[in-house]
Amino acid sequence: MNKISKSIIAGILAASAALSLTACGNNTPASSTAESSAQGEQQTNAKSPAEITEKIMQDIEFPSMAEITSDRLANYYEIDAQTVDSFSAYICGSGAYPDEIAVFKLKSSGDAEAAKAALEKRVESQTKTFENYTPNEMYKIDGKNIVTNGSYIALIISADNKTATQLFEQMTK
Amino acid sequence: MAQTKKKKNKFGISPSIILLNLMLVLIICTVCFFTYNIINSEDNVSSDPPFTAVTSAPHETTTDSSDTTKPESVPSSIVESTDNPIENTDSSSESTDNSGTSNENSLDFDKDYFDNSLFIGDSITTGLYLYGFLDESNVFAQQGLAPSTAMSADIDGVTIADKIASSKPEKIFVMLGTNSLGYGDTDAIAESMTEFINSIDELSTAKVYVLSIPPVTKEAEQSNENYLTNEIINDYNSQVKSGISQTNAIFLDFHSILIDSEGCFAEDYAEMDGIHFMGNTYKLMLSFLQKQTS
Repeated sequence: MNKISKSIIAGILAASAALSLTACGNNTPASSTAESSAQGEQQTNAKSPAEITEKIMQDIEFPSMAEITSDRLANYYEIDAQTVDSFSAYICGSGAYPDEIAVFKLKSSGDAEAAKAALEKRVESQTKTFENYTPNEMYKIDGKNIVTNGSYIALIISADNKTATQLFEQMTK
Repeated sequence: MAQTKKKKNKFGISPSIILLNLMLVLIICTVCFFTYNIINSEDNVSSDPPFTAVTSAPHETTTDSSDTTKPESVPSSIVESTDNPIENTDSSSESTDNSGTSNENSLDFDKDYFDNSLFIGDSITTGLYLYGFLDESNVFAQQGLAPSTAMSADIDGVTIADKIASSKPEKIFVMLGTNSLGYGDTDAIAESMTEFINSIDELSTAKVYVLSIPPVTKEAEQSNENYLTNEIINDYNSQVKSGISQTNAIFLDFHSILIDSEGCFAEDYAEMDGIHFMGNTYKLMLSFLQKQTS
């Protein structure tokens, strides 16, 4: 075997080493990609409730917001936790403003009506709290939106309910 | 002379080249393995429970409990996680031994310390449970509450007398006045406050603490939107302090740790309106109260 053949075989060996590097490097992303695509098929292209609230709070001005954790969910929403797959909710933590953003992904779109009723109750409660306290802020509650899209439902009380609703609709397609 | 030639396999490659390549593969795989593990361990730091308010939103930077200076500046649109106070509570329980010796602007507090306490106040006080720093059962507060209306107020069908009777608090903290000062007579409001404190004292065996009301920011003062000025606030606080000196209650000057060099509400502690609190301000408040009353 001549020198050229030797070089070729040595080159193949080196290439296999390089390939092994690529294989190692791609291990994690490859499995993540597989997971996300599997998840994607299940949820179409919809984003998670947390991603949706994050985007809305990035694009619209909100006061200081406090997160409603799952252990406090029942304090604010009379929603049946058994029907909720995941959620992300924020209220104004200082008590100064009525701003609120809550996005629920329900286990079934059939639970949307009951969830909507629960969110309407929340709006009633907030109206009572703020109508005499900060009349200047009532436009946020008056223009509130309880919007559903498939198994997603959101309560939006903000300075720009229209944009927030559009973002919700885009991200739950 | 053929015997001196190096031994080769059937491909005519010397073993040293094969060994070299194998070592290269081994080294690369070892590096990959460790890199993979490092990346994975970083990714797995926060894993969400199956049913949760998933927290990928842009949270405020958690002020380290050892950071005893004022909180860092924050944008007007900010998210403050309610998970953080719980974490802080855990860490603070270890640091409560330092009560009275650490910097007055500490943010450490022990949530359990306030289990037998009741906080009475207006919208500012509601933030204690809205943020999740305390349970709602430890708070009797409502938007718009004032010294003159607190005694008769009905919050979800419960009056302050009901609340005291049912919860039997050991400590009662009262911070009221902000809502009426811009629109009413300071002397009369301070007098109402003293009357309210006396009424509370009659209803309960709890130790009653009266907090001075917070300042407003310079901007809020200049906007004149709520007719609140720091001069009025200072006058009210002085009168309340004097008024309650005749009662069993203790006056706690929380106001003084919230002011900037000009005597206004320090911007970092203030909500957008320059009157209400940011999340860290509640931590500061609870830390201050724990130190002052333990």
